[in-house]
Amino acid sequence: MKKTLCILVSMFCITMQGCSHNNILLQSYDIKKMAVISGIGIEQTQSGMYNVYMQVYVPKEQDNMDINIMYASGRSIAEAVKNISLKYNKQPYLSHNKILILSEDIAKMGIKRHLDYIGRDIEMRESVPVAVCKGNVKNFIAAENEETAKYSGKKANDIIDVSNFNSGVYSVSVLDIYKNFSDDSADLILPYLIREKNDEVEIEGYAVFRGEKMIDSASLNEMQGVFWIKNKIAGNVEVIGNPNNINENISVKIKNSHCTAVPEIINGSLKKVDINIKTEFNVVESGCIDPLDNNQVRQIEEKFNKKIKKRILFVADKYMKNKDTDIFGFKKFDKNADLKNLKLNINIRSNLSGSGLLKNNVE
Amino acid sequence: MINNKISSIQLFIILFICRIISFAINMPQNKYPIYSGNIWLSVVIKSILSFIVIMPYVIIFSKQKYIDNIQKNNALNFILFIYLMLKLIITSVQFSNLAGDTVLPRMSILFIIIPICIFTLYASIKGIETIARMAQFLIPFMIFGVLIIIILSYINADYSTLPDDAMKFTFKESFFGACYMLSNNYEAAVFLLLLPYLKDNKKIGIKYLKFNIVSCIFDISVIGAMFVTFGKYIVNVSYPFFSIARNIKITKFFERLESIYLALWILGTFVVIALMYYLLKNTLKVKSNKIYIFLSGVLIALTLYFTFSKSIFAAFSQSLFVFSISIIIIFAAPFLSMIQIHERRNNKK
Repeated sequence: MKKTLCILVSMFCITMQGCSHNNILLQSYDIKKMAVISGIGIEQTQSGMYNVYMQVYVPKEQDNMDINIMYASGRSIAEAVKNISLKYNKQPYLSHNKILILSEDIAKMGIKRHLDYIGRDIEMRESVPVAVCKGNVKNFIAAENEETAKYSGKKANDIIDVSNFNSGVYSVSVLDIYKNFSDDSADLILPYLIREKNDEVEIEGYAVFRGEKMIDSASLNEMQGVFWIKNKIAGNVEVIGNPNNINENISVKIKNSHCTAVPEIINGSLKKVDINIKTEFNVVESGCIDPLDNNQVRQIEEKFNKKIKKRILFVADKYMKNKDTDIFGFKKFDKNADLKNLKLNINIRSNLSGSGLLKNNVE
Repeated sequence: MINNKISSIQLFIILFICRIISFAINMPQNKYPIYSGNIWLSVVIKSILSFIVIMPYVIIFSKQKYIDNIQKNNALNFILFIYLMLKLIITSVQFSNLAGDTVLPRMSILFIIIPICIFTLYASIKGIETIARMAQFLIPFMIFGVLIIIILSYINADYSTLPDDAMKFTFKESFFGACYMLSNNYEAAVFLLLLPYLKDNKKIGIKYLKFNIVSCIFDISVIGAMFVTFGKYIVNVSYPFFSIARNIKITKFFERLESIYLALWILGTFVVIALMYYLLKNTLKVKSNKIYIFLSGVLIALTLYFTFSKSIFAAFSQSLFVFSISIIIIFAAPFLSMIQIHERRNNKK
């Protein structure tokens, strides 16, 4: 028995040695032949071919990182990825990918089938954020001549990541999209990226979807109304007019917010939705009022409530009623709801809870 | 006379490892009604049913001599042998499928299956005490690992996207779901075959009840973790528990917990497969290890066959034959044993 065990262990030692792709049992790869991917961009040409662009980390001396671009075409995303390894003689390692960027054309055609590869592949992660870029991915991610273009994927991810803290940008992962399609809960909105003239990457707003297809793009401010309903607004800064002076503004930061939607269903069809929002906010910048004066506090709260209501109604009119998009997710109450004629009753209870470290304005 | 004895704690540790492996780790490959609210009620009904089907064994066990009568029942032994063989093949194939699809996609399946079979066979030859001690040693790590994954998945989850029908259920569907879950569970067979090895037979029924309550809570928390992570998308996911571990991301540094999952899964499956081999050996009642090893070789060959032909395995594992054998062992065997013993007592009188 001991002899057999010794032989077995020896066999293991011989066959399980390190990284050799010639090994019969272990088809592993040499680290030098792997390309660690930091961002992926996908677009589809008019002939139906997929162009896949990958930003690759290139380790340099003294902990510095450079990023290179690899791209290839194929009849499917998987084939394009395979072609990348043939073209560059490197195996793409997708596990460290930070962002997935889809071209506007793909978003308009429908994103469902294009995400299938991401869900199936073992190296891809479903927690990767997804964004749509204006125009072609090639212009956005792979402008190789320009130094800043190389870092577009990484920068886009950084912007989404950092903005999550102050609720500037609503990040959507691949898993969120899958869940959204499975639940039919609400129509999607994805961050919408642009490249400015100075070549800097910016988030212009959101790509608005109906079903799996992008129908429009909206600015960051326009979409704030949606985040009040989705309870994703905490941390955001809102600027409201001074109740006593039209020319002055007050900045408030939303501390927390909770929204509940109560449907009114008559004869099996959704007629009205009561939106009840409870929120708490702080004054973070006040040029000309005393935020601890009770009358002024009431006035600020009223002004704030009006602003929120206006934001929600703006989104409801533009996207829910005019474009028949279930942007708030009200179809979960009634799948055949007539969104164009749906009445919204918005009740907001806000509470100004503090004024930061200053109790009075600096005179 | 059996020299190899285990304590009741060790028995329940083995049963709990079986539960972790069959319910959490291998759940994806079993078609539970997980996408609806029925799952919650199914889990509770399953726990009640499993207690009911175990009770006859507990009653018989309270009179030690009758347990030996069950063991000597050739018909029951034959069905148990078939059942264990099927379960052993299914567990081994699930193990290799999971390995091939997830953590070791580039490695040859042979390289996974053959070593695990060899080592589990060796453990099973050493006896139940060895397996039980190994289980006792592993259980703290397994519980810690499972709890880490479950708790972090709750922290990581987005509760605003929970499906609306997560709490809607119908009794009929829940009941059938519970029966289906129970048919995938091998606790009853393990419990029956390990009872004669128990050192202490006091209050085994109460102990099983406590174990059942803890297991029920465990099952519900696993289902909850899957619900909050995936919602209705769970029906599309091949390995939900693995995907939960993959998707955990607390801040930017606490992520990629597949390694914990991997440790749980390899260690747990090792105990379960070793136990299956051991129980198979017992039902076979051969003293020579040669016949046993030959049979194990046949089983390994079958496992490899099913591993390479997944569609045939899917049809086989969900076939009426496998389901019927499971139902006979889980539902019919305890009560038939009771009737048999009752008749023997009447004949003696």
